[in-house]
Amino acid sequence: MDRRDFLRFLFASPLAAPLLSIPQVEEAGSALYLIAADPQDYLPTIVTEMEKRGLIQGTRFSLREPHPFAGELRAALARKGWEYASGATSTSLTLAYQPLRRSAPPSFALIRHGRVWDLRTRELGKLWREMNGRSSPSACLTVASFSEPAPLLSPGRSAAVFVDGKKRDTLSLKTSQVRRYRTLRGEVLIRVEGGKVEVLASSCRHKICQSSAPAFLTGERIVCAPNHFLLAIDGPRFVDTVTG
Amino acid sequence: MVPVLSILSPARKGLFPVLFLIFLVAGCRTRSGWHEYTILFFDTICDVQVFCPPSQVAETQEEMRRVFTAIEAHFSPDRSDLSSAAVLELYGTARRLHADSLGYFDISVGPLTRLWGFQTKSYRLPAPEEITAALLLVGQDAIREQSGSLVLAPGMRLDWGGLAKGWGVDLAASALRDLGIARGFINAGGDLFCWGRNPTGSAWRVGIKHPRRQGYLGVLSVSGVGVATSGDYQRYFEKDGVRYHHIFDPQTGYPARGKQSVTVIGPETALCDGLSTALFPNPTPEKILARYPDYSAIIVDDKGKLRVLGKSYPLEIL
Repeated sequence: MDRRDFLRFLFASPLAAPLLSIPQVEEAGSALYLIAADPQDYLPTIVTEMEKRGLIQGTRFSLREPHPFAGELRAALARKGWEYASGATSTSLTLAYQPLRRSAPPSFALIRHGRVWDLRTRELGKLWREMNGRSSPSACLTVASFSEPAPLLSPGRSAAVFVDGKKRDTLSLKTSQVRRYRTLRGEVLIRVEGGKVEVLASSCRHKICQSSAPAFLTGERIVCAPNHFLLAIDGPRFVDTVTG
Repeated sequence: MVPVLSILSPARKGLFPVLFLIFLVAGCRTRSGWHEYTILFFDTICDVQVFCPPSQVAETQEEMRRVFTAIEAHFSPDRSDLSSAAVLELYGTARRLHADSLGYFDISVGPLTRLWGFQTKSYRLPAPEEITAALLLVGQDAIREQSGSLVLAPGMRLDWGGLAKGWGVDLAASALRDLGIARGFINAGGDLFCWGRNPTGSAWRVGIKHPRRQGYLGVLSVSGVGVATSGDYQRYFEKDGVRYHHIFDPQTGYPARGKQSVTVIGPETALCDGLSTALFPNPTPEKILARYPDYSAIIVDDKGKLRVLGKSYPLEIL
């Protein structure tokens, strides 16, 4: 089946239309539609390609409904480093089976945010040709739903300056500036530039703060323990606090 | 209906708005809100977030400092007085963990910590014979309790690092709750205790740092529990492409291998702290954890594979 025909089939066919409203597809950031009698031969390759492109994060998958090739899919994905998890656990890939009422030539397409994404890189182009040359028409539609990589760390908005446990300043990361802070044990010179903050100079002995990379993500910090000096980036939070 | 103001005398009519303003201002001053502050404890940053009236913030800070100063005084590496009630109490926990972990938790690893330079941050790779010599001074079983004091063999040094910080967090959280603080968290360098609801009214979302990349490997949604993590990425040095970290296998004298991080969740932060240290070098962590049914461990092995053991706490794996 030609790619354009496949998409037309997917969106226009009343048989396939309910697929677009099944909850797992709506929840996910993107969904791969794969028509193949042997999905285990193709899915791992497509998933690997999506990983390379940063479209998937994580290594756990689950199966929502009974799938005729459940065992084969589990084994094939395990060979690529994916770990099977029960439906109760959060996973980054969920597989569902939807039988079609009539067979269709093998094909696949990725829908992301309602848009079709071109997956025909060199490797997937080869896969595409291989599918059409080898596999026979099938009524087996596998829907692979991928959760979006969460925005785990977002750029901060401001840097809070603490000296001896007391908040001394809040500096916008949008405004370039150099500031000097006197502490009980010396002084620390910091610079805000390009949305990042760094320690330019410090009176401390080991200069660990000075060699710290510029901080810019929410929650990041630069600490100068001898000076009891702390720079903490504030901004939108994904978690309340962090361990580790 | 007679308007309220009409039954008041003119003098009282003037007084009423003034009183109203006083009550309004007083109400604003005492209205509870979220407050965050940071203090230094055991050379790490301690984050505190509490829900209380502004007038109570200073009191909570004072209480935190009181607890942490006491903990630092009792458990600093060079402390020679081992007869205080605090030392004896925490030693009881250390002894239990030592027995339950078949010796993998050991507070007498001080000579190893010192030999490898983790105490002074002057890291070095010791010669095998130096490690063999240091191991002669390691062994919690050699510690004796005599006349209300711990007695160490000559050359032994205690390292409370795997326990004292967590205990300090427990004591500080308890002290704040005694002050009537019903919601908050205390996080001392990753050893934390959270209670009540978070600012959005949900359980606290605790991110677990990924041991090898920026970001989190998972997020816990918890309340009324402690959390602590031991990881090979927290304090380490590299030599000839090999990473040497600060969590020692007390039986070999070398940094423990086989895991990247161990996070433990449970009712007491001290035990979370101790268990994460005990489980790290242990090849069969499930056997230790079986003795602590209220605790859970999230383990990332040296291949990056994640395992969750013990009691189930809400965890979103990313």
